[in-house]
Amino acid sequence: MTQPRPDDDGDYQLGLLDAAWEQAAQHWRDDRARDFERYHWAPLRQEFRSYLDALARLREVLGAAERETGI
Amino acid sequence: MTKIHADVEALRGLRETLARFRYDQRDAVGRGDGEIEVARGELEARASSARAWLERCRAEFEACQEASPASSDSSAAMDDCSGLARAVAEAEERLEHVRRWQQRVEQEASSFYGVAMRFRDLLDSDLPRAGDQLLDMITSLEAARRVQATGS
Repeated sequence: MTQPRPDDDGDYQLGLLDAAWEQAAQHWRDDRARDFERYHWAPLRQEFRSYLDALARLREVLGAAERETGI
Repeated sequence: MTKIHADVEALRGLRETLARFRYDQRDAVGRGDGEIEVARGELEARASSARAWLERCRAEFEACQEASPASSDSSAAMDDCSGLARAVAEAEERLEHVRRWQQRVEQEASSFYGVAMRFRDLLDSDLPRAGDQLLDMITSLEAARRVQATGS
């Protein structure tokens, strides 16, 4: 029912984002940086994490449905 | 890369990473929806199969009851059809089992759609704004460097 996807590794995607942010944050430390982190960066990470968790739960249920109803 | 340009390069890198992330994830969110549709289709096919099996069991059970002479011992008639009665009960349970999983998948899909919609909104509206903000920052840094270079 569920197929493997090339973008399955959400933690890898998060790692790419974090690395880019950390690199920028080393040089960008003014008020605009703090606003960017608060209004763009933190919500992005939070929503992506929530999405990955929801996707994992969904796939768990789809997999169980397939196994349990495999008549 | 000179140190004075390291901040610009880092911001450019962040902007490019966000743009790639947006492109990849918009595609991925759509495929998540596709997985739900595939699961729905397969479960509906299994429910349909279970319904067809139940109807067949019921028909055989009814035929067995009708074939039993009304004047004969009713308990003997029940014994003759008892296997078919069990088959009907099992088929009903099998169909109910598939229906329960259909409901469970719908509940989880509904929950997923809510989270995925928020994430998709963020990808469609917030990330472009974040990219624009980074571009403004890069542009202003580069302009300041040009002024410094001209003045020096």
